[in-house]
Amino acid sequence: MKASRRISLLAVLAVFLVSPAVSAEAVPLSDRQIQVIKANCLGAQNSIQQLQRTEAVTRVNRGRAYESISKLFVALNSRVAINKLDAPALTSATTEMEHRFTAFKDDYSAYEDVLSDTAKLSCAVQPVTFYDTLTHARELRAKVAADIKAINEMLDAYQQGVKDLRAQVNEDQQ
Amino acid sequence: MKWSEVVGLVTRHRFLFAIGGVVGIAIIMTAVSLSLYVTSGTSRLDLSRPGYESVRKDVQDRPEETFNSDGPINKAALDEFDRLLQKRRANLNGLGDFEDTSLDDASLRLTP
Repeated sequence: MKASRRISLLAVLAVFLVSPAVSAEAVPLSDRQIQVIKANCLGAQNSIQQLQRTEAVTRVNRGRAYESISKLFVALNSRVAINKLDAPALTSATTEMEHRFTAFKDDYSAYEDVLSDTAKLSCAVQPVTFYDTLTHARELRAKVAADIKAINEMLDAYQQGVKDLRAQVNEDQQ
Repeated sequence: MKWSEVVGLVTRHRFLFAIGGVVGIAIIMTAVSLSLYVTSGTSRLDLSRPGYESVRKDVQDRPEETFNSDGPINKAALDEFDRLLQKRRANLNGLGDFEDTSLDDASLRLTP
């Protein structure tokens, strides 16, 4: 009797310890929501596939634009070095931008993988899995958006560095 | 089967073994190429895949002015650099930023 009480107590304790972690991972879907997902998910998957195509172009165009800007930065940095001027902000912003660009490429790949999974799932049979995968895709998409913001900040930092360089050149010429 | 017998068999059917070898090498090379194509992430950016015909025309593929890495640093050079950078940033601002509501429940009609 005592042993069974102890087991029950341990079981209750285990439920309390485990429950918060489970509920923090995913908000359970209501029956009504699951029905809506089952009914509309094929249309949603079509929209996701269309988004995939549009965003693949965005990714390619952004990648090319960043590479083009990176070449521009390398050219100016090289000219600064040849002219024996001091502009560490330019080199550090260039390096940081390269890192952010790599993060953008990696995060986009991860996002694209999950988005493809979302579009391929048998959503009418697995509505909860479909929604969880979709939620994950949204999180990864937000990371890609954050990478773009970080790159923009680096571009601003570089432009500020060019302003400082301009002031330095003006001083030297006076 | 002895080694001499194997050599004899191959010698007798040289043409057959040569074709088999070439096909085997081609299969291995194709498998390696395909795995590199997928693992390197190139497949995700390959817009020549089926289904991407409609969006291919949106890829920007025009030659851009470059900035010479050799030359003086003066007002004219920095003005030129600013002009080129502004042009590229304006182009960037016109591209999607992965922040729109396309994946929201409402857009996908998943809201009860």
